[in-house]
Amino acid sequence: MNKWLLALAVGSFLCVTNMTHAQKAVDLVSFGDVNRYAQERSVKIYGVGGLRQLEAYQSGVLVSAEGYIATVASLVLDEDTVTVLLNNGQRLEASVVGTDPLLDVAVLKLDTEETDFPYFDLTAEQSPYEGMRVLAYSNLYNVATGDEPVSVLHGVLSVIAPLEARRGSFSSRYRGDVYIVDAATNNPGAAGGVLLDTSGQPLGMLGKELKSELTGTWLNYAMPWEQVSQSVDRILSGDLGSAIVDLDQLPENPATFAGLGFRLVPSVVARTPPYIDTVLPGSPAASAGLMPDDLIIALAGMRTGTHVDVEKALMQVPGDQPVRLTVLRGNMLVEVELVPMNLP
Amino acid sequence: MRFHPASTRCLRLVACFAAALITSSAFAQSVAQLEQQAIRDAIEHVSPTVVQLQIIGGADRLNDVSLASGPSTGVILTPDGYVVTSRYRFEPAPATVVALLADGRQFATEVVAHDYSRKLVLLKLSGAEDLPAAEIAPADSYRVGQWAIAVGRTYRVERPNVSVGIVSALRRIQGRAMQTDAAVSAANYGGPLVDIEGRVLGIIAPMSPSAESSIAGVEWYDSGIGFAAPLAEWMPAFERLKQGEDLQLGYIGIGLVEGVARETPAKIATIAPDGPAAKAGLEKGDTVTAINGVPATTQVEMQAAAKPHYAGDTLEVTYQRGDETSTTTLTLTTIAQLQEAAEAAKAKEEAADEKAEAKEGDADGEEESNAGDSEE
Amino acid sequence: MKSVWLPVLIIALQTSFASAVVPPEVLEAEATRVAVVEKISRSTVAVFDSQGQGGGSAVIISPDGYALTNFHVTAPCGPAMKCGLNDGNLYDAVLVGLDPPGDVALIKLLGRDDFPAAELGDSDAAQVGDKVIVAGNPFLLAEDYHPTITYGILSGTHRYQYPSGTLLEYADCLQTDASINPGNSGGPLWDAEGRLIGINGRGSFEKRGRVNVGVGYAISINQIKHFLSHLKAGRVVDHATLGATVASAGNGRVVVDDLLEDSDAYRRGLRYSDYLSSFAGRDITSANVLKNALGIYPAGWRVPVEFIRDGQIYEANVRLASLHHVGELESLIEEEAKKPPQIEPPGPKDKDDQGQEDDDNKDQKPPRIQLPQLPGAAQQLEPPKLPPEVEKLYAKRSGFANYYFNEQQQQRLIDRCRQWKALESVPQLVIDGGDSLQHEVRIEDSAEEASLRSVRGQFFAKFDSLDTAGNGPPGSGGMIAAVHQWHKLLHQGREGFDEVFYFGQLPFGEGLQLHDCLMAIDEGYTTQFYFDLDSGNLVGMEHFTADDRDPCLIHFSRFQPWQSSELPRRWVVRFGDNAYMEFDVDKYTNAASTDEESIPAEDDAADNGEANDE
Repeated sequence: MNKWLLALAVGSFLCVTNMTHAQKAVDLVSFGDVNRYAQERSVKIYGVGGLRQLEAYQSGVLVSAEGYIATVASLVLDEDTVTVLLNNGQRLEASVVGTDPLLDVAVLKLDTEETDFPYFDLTAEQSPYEGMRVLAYSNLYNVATGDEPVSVLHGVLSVIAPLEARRGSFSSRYRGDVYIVDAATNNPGAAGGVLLDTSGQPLGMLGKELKSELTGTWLNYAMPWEQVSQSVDRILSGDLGSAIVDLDQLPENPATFAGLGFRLVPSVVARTPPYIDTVLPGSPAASAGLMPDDLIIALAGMRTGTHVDVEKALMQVPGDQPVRLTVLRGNMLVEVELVPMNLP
Repeated sequence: MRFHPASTRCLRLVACFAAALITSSAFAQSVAQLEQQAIRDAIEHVSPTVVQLQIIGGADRLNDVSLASGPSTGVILTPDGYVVTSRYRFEPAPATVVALLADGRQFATEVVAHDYSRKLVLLKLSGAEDLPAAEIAPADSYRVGQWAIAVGRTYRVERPNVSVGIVSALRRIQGRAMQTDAAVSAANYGGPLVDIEGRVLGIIAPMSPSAESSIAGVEWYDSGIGFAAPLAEWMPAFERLKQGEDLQLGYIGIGLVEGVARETPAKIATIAPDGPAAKAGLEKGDTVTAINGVPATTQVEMQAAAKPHYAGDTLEVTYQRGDETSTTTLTLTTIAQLQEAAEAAKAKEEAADEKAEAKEGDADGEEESNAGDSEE
Repeated sequence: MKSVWLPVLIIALQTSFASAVVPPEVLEAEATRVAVVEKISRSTVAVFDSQGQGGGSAVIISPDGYALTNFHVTAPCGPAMKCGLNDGNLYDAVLVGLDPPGDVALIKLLGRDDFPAAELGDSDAAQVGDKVIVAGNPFLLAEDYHPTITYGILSGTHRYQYPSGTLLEYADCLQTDASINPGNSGGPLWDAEGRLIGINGRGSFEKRGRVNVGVGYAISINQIKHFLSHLKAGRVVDHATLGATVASAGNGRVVVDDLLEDSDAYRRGLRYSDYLSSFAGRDITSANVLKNALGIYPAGWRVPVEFIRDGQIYEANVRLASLHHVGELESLIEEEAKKPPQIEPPGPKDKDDQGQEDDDNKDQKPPRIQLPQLPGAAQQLEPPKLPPEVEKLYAKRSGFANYYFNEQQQQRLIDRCRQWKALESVPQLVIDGGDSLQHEVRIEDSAEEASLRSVRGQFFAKFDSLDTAGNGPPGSGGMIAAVHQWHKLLHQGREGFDEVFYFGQLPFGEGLQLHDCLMAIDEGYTTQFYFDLDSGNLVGMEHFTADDRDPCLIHFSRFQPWQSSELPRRWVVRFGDNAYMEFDVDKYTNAASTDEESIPAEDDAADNGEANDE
């Protein structure tokens, strides 16, 4: 409930500040206004692509009056220049300024001296919530050509959750929060499009076509606008190092079954349940009271539904620190802490 | 986080006041804004009763269909921890399931019983008390076109994931499901479909009009074609499941004449030996004209009247034989019992008379839906 | 059902908190939507083929049972289909008309004259973001014929979706994110008030093959309005071509980059490298815009166009030609009907969680396919015998979807037009009149010969065949033959021609108002007769002496009683862009009769020069 009040407060704050900012969407009364505002800032991007018949087109949004465009890093941008179609049908070349390998954000610059392009404000801030109505603008399936307006889909924000997704053997590098939506936003050509609230404020950038690792279904999501904004900043400042360092930092000496003193029932099928097979006497597991047939359902805060989940979780945990486990014993949930022996 | 109605109302008043202040400066969007808030409130209302189900073990695929690997969703029906969910993740028999509440509580669970017909399963959370129970929308409030909000708890424990649509149709899947265009998938199977007041309309589950498997219909995920078993109508079944009774689709034990099912009367072509119909005196050539007093002029109508019932239910079957119309009562049975009875009868018959041709006694397949299947 | 309630009550008592309080405005809006859904559900049709193999959707548009659906839904059905309504009843229906290039079919439900009809909306008034409702029978879920209702917004308007070959082109269509799936084909797209704005028929399905991914398309109802009378004619209706193609020239201009010299566009003055600026009232800013503007009209329609050459704007009314050659459309239809089902019945997919299968599907990427109707297990059984009710209303004939309905429309024109067979007993007709300068005009026509005398001279023709009349008199485009055909229609009726059929409504006259058009074919020559929609009068005609020539056009007005009917006093004859002759008739005479009958001389006979358009 407090969140609601907070949202209201933020809302009124925006109202005040937006008055003085011509680029913001404060006075967008009707859907028509919002639509016009969004369309003017949406672009269609055409590149080479062509690999395995992948689409050679995608979507993007203007993020500065000078013609900087934010979009998704992809094969479409492989040649360093692409063709950009503005909402009014104007066709311009654009060069790729840079890409952020962590978020898969790319920045393009239109080859033009013009400095009065309409654009989405990169500093826009939002307080999204589950059930929030959203609009998605993109040129999915390349339905719109020339000066035709891009497609708009409606839906709600389904949940804000970490991006646990993959496409084939490629899993997304970015594992932070994204906005998952209930509309079929992430279609061919939609990547780089924009997710808006119903007043036209940008919430995020539509991502690539990925499947959820949790549900196995195609995922519809947008990268939060704040992340996009930071990514654009990094690209423009040439400081991408900080982004790369964030990648999977696994401990050098992770915890092991041997170190903790228990073994699981061997993994024989894809989802072998993580039952404890044996507990080594005198081990941290034994001291903590772990017993054979205990079923590990969480390790260091990570939920574990399978043998493989436990192995993966162990790799995230430093071998020299206490590990909390939740196990199911009979129909009791038992919390234990395993303290490695060689601790001081 | 517990739900405290009094404080909520109070805050909502404040919120309305604040909203009024803001909207007074402008526009005609007020209904849209009110709807937005109502959707939010409905989600908040039902959210505490929606649990995450951590699935431990279990097969990763079934009949060549890969299943979700993340958590599933369930709905709390009673403060002492009865939870209903979809059978989607229970068909492959997980080792166990742990229920996680938004407020951080977690519970071991046990499977109480399965409803194979509506593809639901009843769980009991071990040692639970004072849980928030879902409010159930009365069956007479269902309207095609009303708001339908699908709620799951798959992506996060502490927050629900939602999708919004409308009720697309009632009495689908031979009268066993309501239909919605809200996005449904493994992200909310087992979760509630709620109305704009946050009351549960139904329990989301994959369903198919032409197959009884618990995963049939998953290919329609997020396509605007989704189903939920209406909860108010299901509550009598809940009472039976609570007693540990598994519920299965009920069979009459008849095969119908061939023909376009929606145009052909439910005329009996075969009678399963020792099946419910046989015991009730139905004969080949009889035409079923009503089930429990509901007229059934075609095979499709007969199925829609019969399939909502479980094995063990008693049905009044009205049928026509020649010019005479009669009504009889029979008790539905399971497909397994039907086959067993048929085999036993066959063996008996063969023993009694070696040259008996028991062709029409063959009771395999779905007896009463064979005509229906050919229509698909 | 008593047993239901007790446990429910117990549960209700156990719940410890009240429902969320929903503002009355929200409940009202919801109730309004529920009411709209209730209304539109009554007009929504579940279509099944007679064998019970497959099906789709349709929508009723008139109380006597006319319903719109997709061509690709009816294609495998043949002339008969079954239609379920949410009253629980299954009705017989018969095929009426087909528009294969536009993927539209008109069918007629039988057995009632009070079918719940949809209210037609204005799809051009629909805007992106408008809330829309889809009703239909996706995956044939409607066992009780209650449609599936899905809700969404318009994602785009005036979309163009390419045809497959030359069929199933979706021009100027509506795009929606309301879910449409296989089986929704042919069903209605409604605006929030429950007015019909489109017929759903196709989607972008590449991603998942068979199920909706947020992109569906509907044929606009405004397009269908242009075709409706043509469909009611029982015809296989063709779409149109301008005879010219354009390329985008930048800055929102398009330039003519190809042009057929035998096209009407060429004859009206359009030339290679002209800028085409306007077509049928739409500004043409890209090649796609022209495709959209063109795709919504049937062949034979006339539209105003504007083009620019050397800074000068030219305006003209251009007649659109058929997209297909004679017979071409029919062979394409046959192919379409034979096509194997486009989707398999619902079953597991997305097998590989590594995304392999989906990628494979991408390789075979189908074009944006039309929403397939749902096929059944076995296809291509022998066509079943038509139900007796349908048989009565079906007549097979080349070029027609159902010739029975054309005969009905011909009869309608006959019944309405008071001139029809006005000259039945006048084999030798003499028309005397005078032009605006009081020069005498005399026309004589009989089955064997005809003559025309005017200030321009005298012209004779013998009718061994129409050929001999040619285009004469010179400059008229074939006036003598035109008069002959007009006389023949009024004298002999349909029997005077090799073939007569109702074409549908076409624009005619300076104002391009819609008129019923009757087409008469004689020795390969086409004559189009135009009937006023209000009075039913035959008010004009066009006689074509060659496909690549302008017709001789005669416009009739100021009807006066003659014998038991009425004949026009004012004749205006045109050829191409030029007036050939304009005169007032003093009398029509039956030359074969001894007692002359003629229209009485009128007091204001000299009152000419006034505008006499209808």
